[in-house]
Amino acid sequence: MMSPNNNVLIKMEGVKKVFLTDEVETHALEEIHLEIHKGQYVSISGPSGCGKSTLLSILGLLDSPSEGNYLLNGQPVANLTSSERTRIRNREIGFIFQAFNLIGDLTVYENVELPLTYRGTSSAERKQKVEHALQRVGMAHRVRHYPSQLSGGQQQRVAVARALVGDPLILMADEPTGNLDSKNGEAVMDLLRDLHRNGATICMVTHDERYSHFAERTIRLFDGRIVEETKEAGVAI
Amino acid sequence: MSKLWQNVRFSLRMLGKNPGFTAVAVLTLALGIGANTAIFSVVYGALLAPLPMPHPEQLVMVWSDDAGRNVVSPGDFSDWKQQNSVFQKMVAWDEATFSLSIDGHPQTLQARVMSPGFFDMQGIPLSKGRDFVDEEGDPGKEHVVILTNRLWRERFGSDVAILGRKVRLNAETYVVVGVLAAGMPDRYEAQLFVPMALRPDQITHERHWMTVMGRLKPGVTLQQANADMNNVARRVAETYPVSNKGWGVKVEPLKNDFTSRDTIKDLWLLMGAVGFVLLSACVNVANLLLVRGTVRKKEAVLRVSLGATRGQLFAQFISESLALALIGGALGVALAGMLLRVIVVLLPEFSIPTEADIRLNVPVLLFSMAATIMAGVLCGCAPAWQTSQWNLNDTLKEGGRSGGASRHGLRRGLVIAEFALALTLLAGAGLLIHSFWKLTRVDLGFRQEHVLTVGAGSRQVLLLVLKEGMLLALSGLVLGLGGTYFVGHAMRSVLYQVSAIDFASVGAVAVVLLVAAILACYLPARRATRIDPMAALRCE
Repeated sequence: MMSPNNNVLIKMEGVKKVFLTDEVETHALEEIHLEIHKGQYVSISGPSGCGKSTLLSILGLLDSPSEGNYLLNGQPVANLTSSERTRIRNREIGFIFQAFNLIGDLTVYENVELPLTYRGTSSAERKQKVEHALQRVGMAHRVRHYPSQLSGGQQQRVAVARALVGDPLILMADEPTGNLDSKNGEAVMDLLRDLHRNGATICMVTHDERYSHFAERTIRLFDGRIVEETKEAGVAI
Repeated sequence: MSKLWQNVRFSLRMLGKNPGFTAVAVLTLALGIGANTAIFSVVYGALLAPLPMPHPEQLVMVWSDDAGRNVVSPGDFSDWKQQNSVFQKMVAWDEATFSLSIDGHPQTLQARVMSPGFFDMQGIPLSKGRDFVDEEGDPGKEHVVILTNRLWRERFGSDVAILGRKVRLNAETYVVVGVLAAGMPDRYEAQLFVPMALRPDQITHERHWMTVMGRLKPGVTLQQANADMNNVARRVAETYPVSNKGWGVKVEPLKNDFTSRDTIKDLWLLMGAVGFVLLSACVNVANLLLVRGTVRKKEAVLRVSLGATRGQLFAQFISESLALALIGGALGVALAGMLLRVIVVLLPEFSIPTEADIRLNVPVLLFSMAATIMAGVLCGCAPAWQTSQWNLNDTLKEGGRSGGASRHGLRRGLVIAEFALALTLLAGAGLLIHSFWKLTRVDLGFRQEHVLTVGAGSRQVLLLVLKEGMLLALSGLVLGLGGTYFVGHAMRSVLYQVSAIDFASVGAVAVVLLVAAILACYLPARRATRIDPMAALRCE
């Protein structure tokens, strides 16, 4: 059996993020202490502007903290070079964006294939993994379609397949239902829940209370600070 | 390989989805590459290509040297042939005019009177018959003639029984003994050749009128040949001090020996000018790609967020600009083929060596390919570099909107570069035009077009746009003036009564460019002021 420490995938200690705009300091995050264990489904919620997307960007290595320590899978990431961060994003993190962010000029297949292409995976292995990922999200029948030929819900499913295809350590979802109607939103949330049940670690940002309860653990942010943390059946910790 | 194919496939798809952009960029590059390929064909054929003869490095011109190269006296030629130890063979010739009469129709033709073995020595093949033999260089036996293939076709109707046919030249009968193979000799000014047969009294050292060419023995260097021939000249001068005292010999490579320094310089200047045109085309396309890159900002950033390294993204952008350049290059080569036909017609006769074979060949196509790849890389570098300046997080959140001072800085830089290149290029053209005007006293007009594009705004913004545009134009003007200084000095030898820094030419070009820049700022800005801001915001 794995010890609790070995099970920690993300560990943040005293993380701060300060933006400087025209000599004005904006404190987006203050003293964030956070641990996410492998296999957890964590939801980060809070009002608009509370810093949840900034936190997810730092967690996803799209941005760097101004202060504090961040360990991903036991490895400090503060001093990584740009290419090392790119490599980690490619191999260990799967992104799901609010606006789907599919490339309009690539087919469904090519969009899902993209992370594997940058990884240097062989063509045969790419094919097998892309088909498997599309089957998991129920989009295997749309491989030759372009994003513009799909509904919003279908596009987000493809985006989930793209996030899954490289077998990442963690899925980072930023308002994955934000651009969807309630029916499609729930379908995507069901999909994420299924993935979690099959062992995926998920960290999701949402401002929608209905969907934050899909997660087993909810972190509430306010003015850049964690103000509340609940686990499973609404128990504050 | 599969990544490369993916990049190429995506690039072609992107180009196909933007036919307007693709057409403009491809045509711009095609013009630049086409002009370069055409002019390089001339430069290569005239200056760089090896002579179309076997062992061309052995072929040399041998001149009398009297404080400058001079033609040769028959006596010197005779002594040189006998006393040298460095030549396999030496031949002499003189130009002449003959009247060829066929069926009573006379025609004056340029001819060459030459010592036997001229064609064999050079390795110029005959399609029929033979070169002159030694005894045909004896007086009384010289009534034989060799025709160029062109003359044989045009005046003798490709007569298959031409050998042995008697023709009337200068009212005397000559027998045709050979017809040269088609090709390079057809470009000779001379169309027929007769042997040079000198009587003993004509072989003197006083009159210099022969042109002499020789083929060096294998392994003999130019230096050795000059040393040996000057020893021979000293001995000849000791024997004939009255005529030969102070005369030496100058042995020079045949290649480009008849091409004037001015012609060589002009050709390289022309090459430089079309090089500027290509550079200007690249800057234009780079600017277009930058604008399009801004539209695709989110896609690029998304790729990075999914794990594309800067190198992979760079390769993607470069492969797109290379795809553009390759299409432009293919079109450019076709264009060069057409341009060459025009150039060959327009080139003044005998302004370049007759050996020059001006056509699209493997070296020219290799040059064209190199120019294409260079153009592709140049065009792609700016947008590829642009992507490395974008902030991943902000871009993914903002939805791909444009922004950032560095991008604008890059585009401003490109506009300045375009202006400077245009001024340098047009000022060079202006100098030549002014020079030509002075030379002919004919009032020549010229026009040029150059369009710059800038953004838009309200009436106040209109002034701002004009101010910004003028700032870029003036920056380009200053840089362009620097370029003009160097171009003017390089062209000094071909200018007539015009100084290298001719204020009239440069000033006229600068004014025209500035007016074009003002119009290019004013017109789109004025059009944009008519747009309803609320409608524009709703569209956003």
